[in-house]
Amino acid sequence: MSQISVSDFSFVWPSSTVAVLQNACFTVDADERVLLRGPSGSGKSTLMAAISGVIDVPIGTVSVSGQDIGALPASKRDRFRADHMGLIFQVFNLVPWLSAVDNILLPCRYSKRRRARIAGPLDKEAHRLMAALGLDPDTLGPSHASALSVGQQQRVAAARALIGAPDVILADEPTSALDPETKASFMQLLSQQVQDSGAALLMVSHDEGLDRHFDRVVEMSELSGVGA
Amino acid sequence: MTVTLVVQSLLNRRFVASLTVLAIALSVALILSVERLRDSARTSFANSASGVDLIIAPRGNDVQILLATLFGVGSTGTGMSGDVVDLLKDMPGVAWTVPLMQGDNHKGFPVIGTSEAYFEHFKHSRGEALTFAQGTPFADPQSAVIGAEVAQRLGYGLGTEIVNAHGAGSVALEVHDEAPFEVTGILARTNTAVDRMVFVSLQGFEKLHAEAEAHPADPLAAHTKEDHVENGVAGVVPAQVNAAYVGLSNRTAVLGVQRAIATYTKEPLSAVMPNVALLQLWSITGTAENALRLMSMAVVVASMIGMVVMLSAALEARRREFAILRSVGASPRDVVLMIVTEALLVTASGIVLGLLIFWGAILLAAPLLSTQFGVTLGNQMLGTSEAALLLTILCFGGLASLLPAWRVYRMTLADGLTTKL
Ligand SMILES: Nc1ncnc2c1ncn2[C@@H]1O[C@H](COP(=O)(O)OP(=O)(O)OP(=O)(O)O)[C@@H](O)[C@H]1O
Ligand SMILES: [Mg+2]
Repeated sequence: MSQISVSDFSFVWPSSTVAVLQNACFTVDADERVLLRGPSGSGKSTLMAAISGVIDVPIGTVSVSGQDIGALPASKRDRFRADHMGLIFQVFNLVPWLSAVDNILLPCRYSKRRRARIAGPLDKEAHRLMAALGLDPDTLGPSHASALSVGQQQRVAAARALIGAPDVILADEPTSALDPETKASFMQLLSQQVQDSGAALLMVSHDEGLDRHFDRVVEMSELSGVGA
Repeated sequence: MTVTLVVQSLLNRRFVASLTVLAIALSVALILSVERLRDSARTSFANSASGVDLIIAPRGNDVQILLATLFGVGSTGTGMSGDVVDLLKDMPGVAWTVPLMQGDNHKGFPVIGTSEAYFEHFKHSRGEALTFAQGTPFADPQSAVIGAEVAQRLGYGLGTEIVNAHGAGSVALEVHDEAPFEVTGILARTNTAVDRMVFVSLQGFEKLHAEAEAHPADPLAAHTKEDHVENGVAGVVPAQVNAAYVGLSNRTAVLGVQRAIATYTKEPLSAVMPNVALLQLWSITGTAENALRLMSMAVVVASMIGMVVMLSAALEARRREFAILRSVGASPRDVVLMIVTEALLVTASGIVLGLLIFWGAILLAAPLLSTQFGVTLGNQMLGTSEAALLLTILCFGGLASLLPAWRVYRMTLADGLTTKL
């Protein structure tokens, strides 16, 4: 069963007339790790927005964990996102005035489901994830997000995406602000943790040499069912 | 849940946030003080005036007569014949009369010459009689009875000798040091103007003036006065008094008495109903009161605008923060709720701090107001109307936050999860 399924999805931003995506078809299986590649402006981030339920999509085009995203009203989509998805962005992932641990626990504020999936105290789980992602929870856990290095921030963001074991992790260029070495170790750890949690991973990246962390690489040009 | 997040966010901006809280606190303290002062002044005045049905005085302005007699502020000017008091006593519907003589002060406190009937009949604060904390009413013409505030402020006790000065103000123009009085009674506190008064017997008061005016321009007047004092017996009304209080046994008699006074031919007199005169006084002071209220409300509004400015100014800088919150599952509604909660929290903190300032101010100002103006500040922590006012301010704060909240709502919808700026 596919965890993410996009079928015959076309999208035009309200402020423009040009279709970003046309008849896109695309699936990601449960516990599959997929790398999405494509030129700038080809609609990768738009596709992520559609899957995460931030933009309005037609009924029957996008479904996640068996739920038709287009059929949900906006407020339910927010709840659904909190329950089923973990998101990581390129930069500025963290609320600067919250501590690393508080940032990691943010999804638990909005999702009962993810709270319920954590056995034991929430803090402990946040610490476990930090340690698993190569961060020292005792020194970095209480420090303000704004005091962390960019590489550390991205790991905290990854921990936040992973907490409460969501079905899907969406990552939009999470490594592009990192130097090559950090990049490699970040990918290694993320990939490992995603595999451990059994989530599906859909990641957008321009970076070369990340293929080995993924089960499959998809080019944007392959998405459109009809020509293009 | 939202609250802990909001508190953390506000702590992050604690400098601007605390300035905003302070602004609201000061405006709240101001508006509460203005209201309390106004209410207290009115209650104090109403309480002082509640037990007298009519004040008879030489014809003059009602408010001036009221202030001079019941509050010891200013004077009624000329005197009226003592016969009037005897005349009033026999009118139908009149239960009692109390003659008053005025024009002296003791260290700034008004001195009233009156009969023992005063302590028997005068009522304050909706029908409460005067009671003695210590001592008794006048024992002889040289005895004095003092109000609670006078006793406390000046540290007087029974047996203290006091000397009065001529004039209504605190400036002693002419001291009657040749005729000291002895305190024989101290009244229990009433929280009205009575607390600030010194009472002496009519005989004592008159004797003082008779002696002071031993060589007056009008030898005839002096002569009659001295005559009167010589056969001065308690209960006899002197030839000249300044005013008289009248108590009615029957409320409807008020018209008859008023008519009799208005048509009294021997001298022009006024019959003042204290409650009516008070209303006149309020209509005079009302404009100033309203201006003051309006101003304090404007200050509250200004502080609210300050809060909206604080919230709005931060929105741009917080765009990213909102996008992050949305990416972890916050709905635009949650974000709006954060802004409104923030506003309510800031307003509530301002109100709480304002209350503390207000209570502190009352504690400091109460003794001063009581001695200087005879106004006793209500000592309740928070009246219902004041609580309602605070609730209104809180609602207003929440309402004002809808403006930035609306902006943030539009923003989060437009931004989505885009965190690039
Ligand atoms: N919020 C938006 N409103 C209007 N148009 C948008 C918005 N976001 C993206 N677009 C348009 O959609 C198109 C695709 O943008 P998108 O961000 O999906 O590309 P991308 O593949 O992620 O590019 P990049 O690799 O540079 O991130 C662009 O032409 C862009 O102008
Ligand atoms: Mg993009």
